Amino acid sequence: MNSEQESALLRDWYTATARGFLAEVAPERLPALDPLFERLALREEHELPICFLGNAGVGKSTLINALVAGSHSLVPAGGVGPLTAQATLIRYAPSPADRRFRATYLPARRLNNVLFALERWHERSIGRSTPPDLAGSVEPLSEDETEITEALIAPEESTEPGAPSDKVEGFLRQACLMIHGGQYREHYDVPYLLDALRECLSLPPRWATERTAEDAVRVAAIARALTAREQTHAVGEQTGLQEFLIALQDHASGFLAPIIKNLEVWWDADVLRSGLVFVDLPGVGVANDEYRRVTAEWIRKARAVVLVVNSRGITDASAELLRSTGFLTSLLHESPDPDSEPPILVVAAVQLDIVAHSDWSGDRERYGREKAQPWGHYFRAVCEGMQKLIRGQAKNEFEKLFEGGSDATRMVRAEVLEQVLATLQVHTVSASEYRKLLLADDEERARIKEADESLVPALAGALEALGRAREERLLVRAEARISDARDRTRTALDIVLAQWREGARAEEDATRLRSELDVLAKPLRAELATRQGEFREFLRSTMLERIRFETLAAAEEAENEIEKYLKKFESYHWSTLRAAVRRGGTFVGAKHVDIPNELTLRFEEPIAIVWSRKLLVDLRRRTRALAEDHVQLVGQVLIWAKGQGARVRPELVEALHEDLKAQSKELTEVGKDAIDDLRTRVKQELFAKVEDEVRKRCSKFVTSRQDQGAGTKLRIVGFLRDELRRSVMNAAVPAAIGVLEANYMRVNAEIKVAFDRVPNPVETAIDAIASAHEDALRRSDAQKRRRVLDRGGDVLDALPGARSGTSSAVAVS
Amino acid sequence: MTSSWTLGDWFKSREAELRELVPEVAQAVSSLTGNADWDTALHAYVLGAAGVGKSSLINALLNDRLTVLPHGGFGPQTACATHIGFSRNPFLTISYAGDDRIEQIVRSVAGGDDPQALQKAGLLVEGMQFGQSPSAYLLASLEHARRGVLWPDANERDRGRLSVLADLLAPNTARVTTREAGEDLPAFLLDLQTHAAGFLSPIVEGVKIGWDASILTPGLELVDLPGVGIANDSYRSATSEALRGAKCVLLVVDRAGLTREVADALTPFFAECFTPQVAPPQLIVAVVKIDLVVGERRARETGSGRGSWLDHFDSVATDLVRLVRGQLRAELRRSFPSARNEQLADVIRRVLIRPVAPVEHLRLHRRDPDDAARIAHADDSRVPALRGVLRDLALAHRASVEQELVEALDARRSRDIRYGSRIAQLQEEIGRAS
Repeated sequence: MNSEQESALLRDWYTATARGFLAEVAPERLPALDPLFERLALREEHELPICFLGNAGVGKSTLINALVAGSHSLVPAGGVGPLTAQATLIRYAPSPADRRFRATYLPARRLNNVLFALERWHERSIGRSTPPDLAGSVEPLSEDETEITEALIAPEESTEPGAPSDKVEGFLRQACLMIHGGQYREHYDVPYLLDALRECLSLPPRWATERTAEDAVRVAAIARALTAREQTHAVGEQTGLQEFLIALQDHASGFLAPIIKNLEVWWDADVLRSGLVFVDLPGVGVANDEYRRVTAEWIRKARAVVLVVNSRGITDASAELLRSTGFLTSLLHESPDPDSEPPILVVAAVQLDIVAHSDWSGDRERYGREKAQPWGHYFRAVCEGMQKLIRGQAKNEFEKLFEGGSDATRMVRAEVLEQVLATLQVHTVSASEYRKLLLADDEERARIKEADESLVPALAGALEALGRAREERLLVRAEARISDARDRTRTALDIVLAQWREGARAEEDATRLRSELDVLAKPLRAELATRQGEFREFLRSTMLERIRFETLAAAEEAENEIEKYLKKFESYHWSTLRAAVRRGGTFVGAKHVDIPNELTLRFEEPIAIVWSRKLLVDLRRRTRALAEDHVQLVGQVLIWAKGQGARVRPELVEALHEDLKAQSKELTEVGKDAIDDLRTRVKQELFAKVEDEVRKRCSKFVTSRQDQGAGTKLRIVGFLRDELRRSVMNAAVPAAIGVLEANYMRVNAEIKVAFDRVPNPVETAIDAIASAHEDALRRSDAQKRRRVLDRGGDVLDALPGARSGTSSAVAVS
Repeated sequence: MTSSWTLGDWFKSREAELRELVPEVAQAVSSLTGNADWDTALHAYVLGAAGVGKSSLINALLNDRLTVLPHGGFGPQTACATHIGFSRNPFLTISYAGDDRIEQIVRSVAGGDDPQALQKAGLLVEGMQFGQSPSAYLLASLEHARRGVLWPDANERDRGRLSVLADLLAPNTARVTTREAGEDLPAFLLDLQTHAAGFLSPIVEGVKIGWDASILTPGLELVDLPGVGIANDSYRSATSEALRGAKCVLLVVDRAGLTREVADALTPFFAECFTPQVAPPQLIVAVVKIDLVVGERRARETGSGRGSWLDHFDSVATDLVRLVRGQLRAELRRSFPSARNEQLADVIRRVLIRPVAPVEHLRLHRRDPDDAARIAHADDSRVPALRGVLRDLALAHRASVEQELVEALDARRSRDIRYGSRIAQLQEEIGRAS
């Protein structure tokens, strides 16, 4: 039985059997138990996306194809010039019969806008203006008008009428790919393309052209796709594998690519079995901001990245992306929770066969063919060298994050750096040799004889192992939740049943017992009041003061970093700076300027460290201390009860004692759920504040015309270093405090809920002994008692997965 | 010896005389070449992303079979360009920086905030940039070497390197080493591959290779710039310095075409392209690694439907030329938003985009049965055509330099009859040198 079934059985038992019984005889127990089962019902995220990141043309797609599909091509490799800025997802399919892909298409208005822009441009270039009421003329249907206007501006300025602007050129290439199946043509037959696009949109033709048979097939397919909005293709009886792959290619890089919104593929690859999802991202370094945006968005939320590099190792562009999205920092920021998902970075070096080949072939030429070593020897040597190079580069990149920073942050980081580098996986592979071997093409023979020599199987194995390890972690966590829910419910039932069994006790004992208990309880009550008072005080004011104090300390550190960062602008060209200031702090030019993001980054880490290393640790320590005080105080009652012989049955107190112990254990991980999204919230909220402030200040600076005239650079540099820094600090510090306070309030509420289950354990323990007597009258109805005990016994018997004799404080028999 | 003399050599050897006779010629020649004083060569700057395959291409351009340039350049920490010029007898000259460079490295290592300095120190002392020794050890070793002594506590295995370093840093030492190929070309090449710079690469200041290649004879000099895109700021400034005023750039790209970083590195050169001048600069884009695309495309076709390698190569090449042209247009428009359309069209029209297969070229000529080429004819690799382009450019360049010289001398003679016979003699020498 797997843990999912186990959990379902247990939940069924609780809702169908146990909960009803408890609601009737002991409703006060439910608030503590219900959340356990709610948590059990939450499905854990089973899938782990692995983002493949690398420079354009390095061979990400070739590697993914090799890992997933052997010699088949799932994701488009061998493309010339990137075309679409989308990520393709590859998920696990249990068998070859389940191979399929699902495409979601862009809304038809996007194509409509392309058509609109192209028609206007064409009319202008042939010197024909559009009559305002011309039938069949299309109108732009969306807010994308800026894009269209942009497309039309350039030809107007042009002295050469009809020269396409870059935007129009891009549209033409898209249209050409859609209609003719290839994006490059020496000359575009524009009227033909226009009519074809019209046909795709089910509009009447305007330019009197006829589709060729081949183009008509594509046009019909596009029209179908636009109407359907979403299509799934599967390998089946009608569709052979080859046809399926061609259809996939048409979507991924062929004529349908320009209208794709999302593309997901399911394939029966062992490496994906444990729930890994491969994400093929647009290449880094392509001169296109849209690509960067899509890629950065994925990396920002990624928990696992495979960085694909060539023989020169980690490039600036990839490292910059990993840094600015916070991924590198997240690797260093070790979470204090053992079961929270650790981020993963794997580096895969490809194209090494090219270097190996060059060495091998060069040596054969130089020394003679007999004297040179076999090819594999060179490949292994290159791989060995790459391991060292990449580890060194990775260390470098991490150390760059260390430049500056206070000693405290530095020490925390240096501590984990070693750990991160020790676990960093570097793989050197030859995806192309691997694929050549599988393809067995006579014209391109593989150098390797065995698949393992390419080291691709080793990388696949390592990824598979990562997936399995994660699966096991999830399983352990799920099982812990199940046994927690089971044990706690059984304990509750045991307590209730024991209380009913106690009903036989004589009433006269009660009064005497009460007064003895009062003597016992008096010092315990006083002790508890003091401890709880201290803790309340800690929660109410100490923590808030700590938050304020630590944030200010962290802010000081952040400010130093920010000052250092802003100082760098002194070396920038004044026009870059001015462009950045005029655009509210961001400018993508020869030098990449992104002030809001860079400033936020410098805040984010100290704040996250303050939370996880200081505040949360403190909070957990104090919470645990109180929980242990509770255990200890009830322990005293228990010792007393056990010493009373037959007069008092200690089982009730014993059960309470066990319950509190479990609670104390649980409270050591309080705030666990809050920690993972703290970073995200710090990032988002601070970013919003910082961005807003930077924009406001910049625009004020520009409105007051300080960005003009002599000395502009000096003024901008001064403005950034002093005014902007101060105002950002003033805006960001309260925001950071706010985020931490809000986060703290969440954990605080969590703590409160936990303690509210047994608000006064001393009283509860005393009551457990005393009320047994007082309730005796109520429960002395022997008939009713028999019924409750029988029913309770049945409920316990039906408890699924109960192991006999475990953790049950009260014998049920 | 005159037979191997180039116009450049001649020009240099007559420097004193020409300075006196026709002082204005220095200015005129330098506006043609973009070079500083008395260098008539046409420098073709080879630029490309790190690992794109620049050295493979240069090797194929220089000769048919041999590996001249090691891939990855001269040592991992070399920030300088490699100059490759004509010489009948191949040679390699490396010049090293002096103590100031070491001092800089020592200071940064001591400061502890520059990981790259630590790697440089590691390379100098241990021969590895990611070695194991603590920085205190590296510092002590280097400090002793700077004083010309071998640190007594230095590890046995580092002593050889440290004494070489100490000798090199000694005052009044010529910090230049030259090795000539002589009779033993294979040994020379091996030296070039393995020991060219090695552990000394952090202090290499200049590398010059002389090679007997037909494309170099008209006075062409290939300048291999450090690869773009791997972290190192000093590369960047060296590169943009070199490209400002360049007259010819050979840009090497792969199937991704023009990437953002490479386009950014090229910006100073693009600026030159928009500046009207006597000798307008020339951009040649060589597209390499096309075989990777071909392999993927062939993989998609099954069995008998699989097209031939060469057919695929040709169709991919055609696509790539269009791609690169489109990317160039977009990048130029982005970097020079105020340029007029016809100006832009003019600049783009003059760019030569040439897909080549340097690896196939070497394969074909090496005739290794275990490593058969996919092409049957030398021209199929398109390397000979690219060589032709470079050679033609160099010839045209030399002709204009020559014309400039002859005309200046003519003008001088008509002003002052005294030098008539000497000038005629000089002009005859120019004719012979060309």
